[in-house]
Amino acid sequence: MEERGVETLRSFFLLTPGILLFLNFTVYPSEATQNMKPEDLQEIVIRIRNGDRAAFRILVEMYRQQAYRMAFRILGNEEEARDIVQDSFVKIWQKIGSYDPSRKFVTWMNGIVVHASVDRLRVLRRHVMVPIDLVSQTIEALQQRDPGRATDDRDLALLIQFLAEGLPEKQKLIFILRDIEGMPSEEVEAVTGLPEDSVKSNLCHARKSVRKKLFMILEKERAVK
Amino acid sequence: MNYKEMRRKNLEAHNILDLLRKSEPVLKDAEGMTEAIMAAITQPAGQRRVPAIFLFQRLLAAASVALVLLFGYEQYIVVEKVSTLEKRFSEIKSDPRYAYTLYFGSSGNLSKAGISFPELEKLISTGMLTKQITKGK
Repeated sequence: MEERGVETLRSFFLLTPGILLFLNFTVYPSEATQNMKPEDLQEIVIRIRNGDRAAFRILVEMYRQQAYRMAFRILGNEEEARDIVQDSFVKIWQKIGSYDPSRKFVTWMNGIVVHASVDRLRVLRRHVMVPIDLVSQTIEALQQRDPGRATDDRDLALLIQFLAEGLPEKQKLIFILRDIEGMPSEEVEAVTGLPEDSVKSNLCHARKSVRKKLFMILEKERAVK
Repeated sequence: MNYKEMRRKNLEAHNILDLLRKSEPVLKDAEGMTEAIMAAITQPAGQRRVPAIFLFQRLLAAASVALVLLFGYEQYIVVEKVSTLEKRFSEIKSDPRYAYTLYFGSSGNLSKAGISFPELEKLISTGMLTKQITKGK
């Protein structure tokens, strides 16, 4: 009995640091928001509200990459992501009057992109079975690539599809926004409209499932070596 | 699995996610996209391209609403007719004129029975006809 208790305690202490290490995700703010002064953005928004197309062009140039990145990570397809970015910016132009300046513009924009992507995902209902061998090769290719060179989007799409495959819609979305996009929890709540508890529980389930898949790849790699 | 093994696996899993996070998909032909967006907002609302699937969805939604309304209207007609009929049946018990209608069916049957209208009026006013009907004669 005593031995069993000691064993449980031992495994707890052995596993906890590893899990904590695994969950230690860093937040990466986008380049656009890093170089942007809030007052400049507010001015641009005011100009757009007055129908200034030149100001809208500046906004598109500032945020198109960020919007594309998010749409691509949710949809895992370049063409679909491009369509979503285009539709989202048209929506932003149409709905800029309903934007509340007391909120962060990026959060409002992200909400539009995320909802459009999720709607498209529901229409597509694509179930892609990604072979594990292909995923191992993709990871290897990503690891060996030249840091200065642009990544092949197909590799990224494949890896995201493999990890998010089989996850329920909410879990997939929250995992991508929180752990891949690096969005803070408060922003994930604002963008998805889900309460804090729901975000936490969905993220926890998603991480468990993703970790299982990652371990599967690592086991496979080890077996090959 | 020992501690070292577990730690190594977690670290490697973390590295893969980190790799995924840092490998940002790049928007190709960004300028072309900006131009497409600018062209889309310049177009009048009527000329914008609407995907066929959205039109089909809207059509389905409109059709289902129309069906529900039609069903409701039909129910209203049926219920109204049934309630009118029930009301009329309930009046038969108290009004001898309805009893006459039920008993003789039409004025043709009345003449076949050899009853004239003044006689019928008399029968109705005395309530004799109602008594006959209730006795099953």
